[in-house]
Amino acid sequence: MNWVPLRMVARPVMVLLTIISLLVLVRGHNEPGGGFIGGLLGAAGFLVMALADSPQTARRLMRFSPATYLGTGVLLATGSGLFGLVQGQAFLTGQWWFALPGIGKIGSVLVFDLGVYLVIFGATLQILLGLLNVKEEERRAP
Amino acid sequence: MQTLLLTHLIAALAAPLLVKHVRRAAPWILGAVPGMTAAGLLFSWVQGGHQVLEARWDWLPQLGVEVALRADGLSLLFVALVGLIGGLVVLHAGHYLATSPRLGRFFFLIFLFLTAMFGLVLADNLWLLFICWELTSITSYFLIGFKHDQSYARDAARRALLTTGAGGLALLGGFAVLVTMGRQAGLDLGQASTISVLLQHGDTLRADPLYLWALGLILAGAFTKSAQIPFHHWLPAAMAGPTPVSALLHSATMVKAGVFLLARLFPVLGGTPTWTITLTLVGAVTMTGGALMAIGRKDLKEILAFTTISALGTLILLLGVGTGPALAAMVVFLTVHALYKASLFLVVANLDQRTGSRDMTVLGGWGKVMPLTAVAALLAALGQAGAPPALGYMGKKLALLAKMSLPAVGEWMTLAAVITNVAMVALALAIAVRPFWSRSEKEQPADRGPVPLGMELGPLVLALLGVAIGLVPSVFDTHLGTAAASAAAGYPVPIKLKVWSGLNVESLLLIGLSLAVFAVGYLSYRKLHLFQKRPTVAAPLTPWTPTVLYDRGLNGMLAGAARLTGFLQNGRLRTYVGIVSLATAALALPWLIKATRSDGWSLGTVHAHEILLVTIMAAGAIGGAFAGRPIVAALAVGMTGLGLALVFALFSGVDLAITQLLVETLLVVILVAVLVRLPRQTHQPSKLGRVRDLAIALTVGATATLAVLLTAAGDRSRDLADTLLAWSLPEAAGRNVVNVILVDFRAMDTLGEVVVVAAAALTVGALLAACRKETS
Repeated sequence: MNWVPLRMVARPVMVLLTIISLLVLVRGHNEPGGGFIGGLLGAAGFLVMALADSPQTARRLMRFSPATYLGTGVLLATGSGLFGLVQGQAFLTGQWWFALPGIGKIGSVLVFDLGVYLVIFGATLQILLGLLNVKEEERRAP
Repeated sequence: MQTLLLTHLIAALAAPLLVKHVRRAAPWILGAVPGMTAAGLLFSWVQGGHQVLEARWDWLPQLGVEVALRADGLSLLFVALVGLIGGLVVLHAGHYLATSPRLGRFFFLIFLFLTAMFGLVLADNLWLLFICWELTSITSYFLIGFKHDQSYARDAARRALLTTGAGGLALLGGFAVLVTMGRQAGLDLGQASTISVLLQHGDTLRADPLYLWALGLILAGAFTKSAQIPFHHWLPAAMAGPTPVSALLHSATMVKAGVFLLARLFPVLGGTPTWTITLTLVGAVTMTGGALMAIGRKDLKEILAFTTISALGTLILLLGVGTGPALAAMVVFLTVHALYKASLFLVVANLDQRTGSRDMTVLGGWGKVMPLTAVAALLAALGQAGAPPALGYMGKKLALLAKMSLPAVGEWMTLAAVITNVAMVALALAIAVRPFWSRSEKEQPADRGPVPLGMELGPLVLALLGVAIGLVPSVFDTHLGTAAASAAAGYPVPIKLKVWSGLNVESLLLIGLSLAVFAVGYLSYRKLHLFQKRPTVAAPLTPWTPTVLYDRGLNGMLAGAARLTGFLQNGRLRTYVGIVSLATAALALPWLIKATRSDGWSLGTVHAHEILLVTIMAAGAIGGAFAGRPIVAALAVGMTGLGLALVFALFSGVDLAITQLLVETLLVVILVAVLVRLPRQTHQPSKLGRVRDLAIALTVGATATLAVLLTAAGDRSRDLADTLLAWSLPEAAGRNVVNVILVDFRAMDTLGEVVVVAAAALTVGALLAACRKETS
């Protein structure tokens, strides 16, 4: 899509969406939000970039491949369960450590949610950027 | 006992390292392990005055699974044989496969097998026995397929695995039935899974109405493992493995696991008419059939494979007879067979190594070149032919007496035994005399150089033992032999072996019979080439042999799977969606209808704006169905999705609403981005197809509607919601109950879902990459 206004706003929109997505993730425990919604919002930001510019640009701005994000996410989500386990409680039992001003309490549950965020973020972009890429190549082919 | 198992496990892990660093010494070091540890166990048994040794640890007490080890006479007989033959085979194989780059892997597998085999014979818990049983099948699979770059080896390995694996499945069922019977007899789960406890309740268990099920299933497991006709076909194929493997697994030890199991459970299952008839019949058929099949072969290894089948038939037959003398004969014959068969296999391996040939019609005159192997062959053949002074003579005598003792069919059994013995004599001559001492007219293959000592030792030691025990039977019969037979029978069965049992009618008859057998056997040996012309009489039966039936079954199964896959996964996305939705609906619908009937349903109070919303959503869905262009359809369906988000918002499901909104937006954007380039209509469905699609849509829609109505009507959902709302803040320190459920209360579910999403995304990535490769 080579539409000039979209290209101009794409980068600010992406940055904004990424910040909002992180806010949504953090406040999710008490207000509407959470890892799932946050992950989708974050993915939407890079998707805007991919549509306005090119999937390659979005990939470059992500720094790591989508697969890396989702792999890290699975690791974090699974790993957060171990905190309960080493305390002698059941796997994935929530543990709370301390409170941060403006964010709220920090604990294993937030780590878990961050994992969910990364998986959804990575998975969505893995699929969507992949599809867009195919389309991109078809366009280049005669 | 635990030391024995652990040592072998450690040896398995250490073997690759040993091969890497001390290649020349590795076979000797490793070869010492099985023999030494087994001897140690036997020694402590003798020291303890023949007391049963026991050791047990809890594993899964809730399921009755226990690491219970128990060494009685029967177990120890097997431990002795496996340890002795195992050690010599390891030594032999280390030289036989000296040039193989996979020798470390080979040792790893064979020690894993030895661990499983020792575990099998020492297990006092049914489930532990079963696990070891399956482990022997699996390690055997890898060992048969050791030359995995050859397709015949892979086919043979798969044949063995599928056949014995199917039997293993039956065995699992049989054990489950047996434990159930034990529970009904008043035992608790742990006791009912313990073999030594079950053995004391034989009478009760045999009277149980489930007895026939247990017997049938366990027999299926034992017969497949011990290669009884018609399940024998995997055994000759298993000769695709390296010859030392055949010596250990497919003659002396693993295939005897079925015999061991039936002997072990004889006090529980044995002695009923069904037992006697089934086992004697199957055993007699296998015994004679195996011998007859062996006689037409030219490959020495193949001959040994078929004579093994025959010997296993004899053992099953003796178990079927089930009297004290018959069990004594079983124990002696088992020992005899293990010694001479392992020895002969190793002899053939040596011949193969030296000449590169195993064809009995070609080889001749190699005795002067390899005298040690030739002597071993001769001594072992005495055992096979049942000639004095080898232990084989006594084994044959006892077995013959036991077979004659069968009521009603004694004469027939004697006839079958005589035929088998004639074949055995002829084949023993063919293996031990022809390649070494006869003058062959055919040109001999080139000499490949002498066989190392490590390979000469195995067959010689085993063959010598067979003769030595025959000369001094008291080292065996009153100790291990009696203990083993008594353990199998469940009551004391003294064994006293004598070469000459005095002058009476019976012994004269036996001697006469033996001489006749030797004479006819020699004649058959001279005329062996007549049998080797493919018997044309059996030709019409060829399509019905178990080998061919197995092939047909396997091919049929694969073809069926291919057809089913082609039908279900035809590459058209709409078929997939149809099948998945319909299957879900079909599973849920009957239950939903039943629940609606009993619980009733209600719409609750309906507001005007709700009706408006639903109408918009319905319009979107219907519009999507009738849209001609994909992009219009996508937008129309998007309208339904947005309507759904509004519904969520109306019912204060803010999180759901946001998620729905985001998903819909992303979906519409991406559909538009991708679909723009699609042709207008890829596939115009027929009229019938449209009716079918409508039916699917209506069914799925009805299911979803019923589910929603039912949820709204029930009280349970309200209770659940209230409970979760009440718990959210105090228990999980969160006010957003949806999020609390996702990341705390039901975090395990979320974790599962997240992993599924990740796996799906990675799969999509892989598929797209494959697409790209194809187009470029």
